[in-house]
Amino acid sequence: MKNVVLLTIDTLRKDVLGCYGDGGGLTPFLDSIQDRSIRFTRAQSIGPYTQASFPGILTSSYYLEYVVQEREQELLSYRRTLVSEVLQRQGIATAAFHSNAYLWDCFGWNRGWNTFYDASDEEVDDKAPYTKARELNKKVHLWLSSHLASGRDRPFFLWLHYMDIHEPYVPGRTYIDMEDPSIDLSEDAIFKLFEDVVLKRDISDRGVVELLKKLYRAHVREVDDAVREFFGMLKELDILDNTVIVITSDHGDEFCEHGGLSHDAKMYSELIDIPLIIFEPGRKGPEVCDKLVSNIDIPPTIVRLFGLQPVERFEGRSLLPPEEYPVKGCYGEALDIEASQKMGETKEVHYYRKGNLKAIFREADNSWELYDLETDPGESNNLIDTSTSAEAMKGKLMPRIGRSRRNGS
Amino acid sequence: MAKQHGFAEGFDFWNETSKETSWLEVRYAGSDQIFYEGNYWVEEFFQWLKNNHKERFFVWGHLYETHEGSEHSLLKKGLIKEGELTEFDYYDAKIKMADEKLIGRLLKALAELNIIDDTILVVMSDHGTNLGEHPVKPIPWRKEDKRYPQHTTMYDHDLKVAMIIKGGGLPKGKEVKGMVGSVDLVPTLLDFVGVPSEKFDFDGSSLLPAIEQGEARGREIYSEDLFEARGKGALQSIRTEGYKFIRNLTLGTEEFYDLTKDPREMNNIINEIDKDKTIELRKKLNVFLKGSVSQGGQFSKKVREKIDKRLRALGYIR
Repeated sequence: MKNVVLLTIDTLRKDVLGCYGDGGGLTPFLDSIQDRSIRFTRAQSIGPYTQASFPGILTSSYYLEYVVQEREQELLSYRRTLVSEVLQRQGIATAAFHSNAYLWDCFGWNRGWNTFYDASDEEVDDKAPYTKARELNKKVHLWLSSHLASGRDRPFFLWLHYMDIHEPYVPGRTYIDMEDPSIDLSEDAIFKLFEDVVLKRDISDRGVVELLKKLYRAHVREVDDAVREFFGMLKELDILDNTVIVITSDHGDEFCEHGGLSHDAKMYSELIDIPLIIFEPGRKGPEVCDKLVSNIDIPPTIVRLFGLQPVERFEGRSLLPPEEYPVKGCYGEALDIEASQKMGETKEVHYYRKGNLKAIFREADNSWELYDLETDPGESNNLIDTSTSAEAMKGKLMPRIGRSRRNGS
Repeated sequence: MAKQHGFAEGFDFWNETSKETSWLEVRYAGSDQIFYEGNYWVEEFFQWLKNNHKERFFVWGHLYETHEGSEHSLLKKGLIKEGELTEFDYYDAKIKMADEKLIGRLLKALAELNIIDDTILVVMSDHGTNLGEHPVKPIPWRKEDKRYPQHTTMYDHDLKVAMIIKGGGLPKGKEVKGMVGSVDLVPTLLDFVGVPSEKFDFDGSSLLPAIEQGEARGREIYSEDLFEARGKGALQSIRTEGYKFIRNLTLGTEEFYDLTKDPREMNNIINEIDKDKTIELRKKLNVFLKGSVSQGGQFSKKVREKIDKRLRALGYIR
């Protein structure tokens, strides 16, 4: 294979994709490429929000390992290696197109990219502060056309990140109608919902939460169309047949499953379960992998797809070929930002998942939870005091607690 | 330049300082980590050369003997005494030590192995040092109130380096005038061995044309220290044969020196030069803050406000 695309969709829950079991038909395009894809059914994010997750997706390292405490917490430590740096050194053309302010050049995310677009120099909508997926596609088209026209036949690695699903949930009217034509909300009314309900994490009116979920789902439909457009572009440029496309998200989103909204520092499935699909044009027929994998495995997979030697500092393993991927547990960690601010000192949240068991530790109230996801997928029945596996699961997390304070930049 | 920071990539053989071999331990303020610096690796190198000289090779060796701290080993051996010499003399002593330890021996060894005519030898330094020419504050993590040597400025004593190339069919004793930069080293080495460097997007370019002409004309050299740990602020500079412009991004200060009249960079005439010229120079420096060069977290209040505005609209700042 010649080129690799990493397509990340901010805040995309796993369970809203048709191919992962949703019956609403939100993602006809993503579902349609399954016959040439491998789909990972139990992919976990290493963190429940962008800053905690992207170190895994682009540097194959955990968030708290090198988090910078003393200065801007978003800074990307120089001790992390971006997959772009590895590939650029090998003469592969690298390009990034995103508009998430947590991943701006000034934090260091621009290392290793020949082309880096992050919308920091551009004016964006005040209320929906990102470059819309369709606009990003246009920019990518320009870049791809000029890259291909340079005639050097150089392979490329492209990272494309769509922000559209992220709150404040303002999908196009067509997509709202597809979800529920009875929704009668102006854009101003949607922003008011965002301010009054989402920002305040006000879940008192379940009807409103359901409405927000519908807006979110309408956005998923819209992004599926953007992905369709992107694939169409590659086909039109005649490179779809030699491009592998990795599709995933950084984290999910909560609609009151555990008493909240949006994506705070929690480790439950609605935030940690992510879609992970690798489209390989040469593949004949769909493949499904049920192994427990993590987005920390994405950089090693990309390096492997280019036929390069494994990178020593990457902490994940290549997802391909899936039969070589080991059976092992997954970790995730985050800073409990709200509790840290309230308590005036840094508090962490951790999880460890092994098989169907997930242990969660919350430093703010020193609490442990343990769930059996097979019998209790909603994670409501805490087994920490009754399960015989509790001590072993705790033991896995203990050494990792407090490392944000130990490590520094 | 440790392996853990990626410097060992592409090398078949790597020998670096360890706890056991170093003669200097540094503990930076606010960090539990100990950095081991300085290591007498010359014997291992000559052994390696003996074993491998029959194959084509590229060797990079970095001597630490001239760096601050190596005087400890000289003091320990009783070769010099504390408080006996000026900073300049201690520095000279260390240069002499490096020259004796390696350079002379290396030329002799290459001749004995009969490969001296097939070997290109480059001797250069990564930076100079400030022995008190420009006053600076003490380094925060040093225990004592010792200020020099220190290399934290954009002045010539810190940025001007030696660069000597021997072999590769080059004439002997030729001096190349004009401005060149250490970023030009890699493209030059590749040019020597016939590897085109265009596809790598290097910031420098091969020096072979300048060597042939005897001078590098009209070039501007950019330098930066955007990491502010030593409290000086994020620095950028641009130097031509005639002038130097320095900007401190953190403090918002600027300096301009006319190097023909003021080679020691003592008389800042930023207020005397044409405003349009200053704006042009600022623009030149701005180019390096975009794209591939990270600002390393030193961004202005304005940028921080812009980031926070977007994060607020996404619901992150409540």
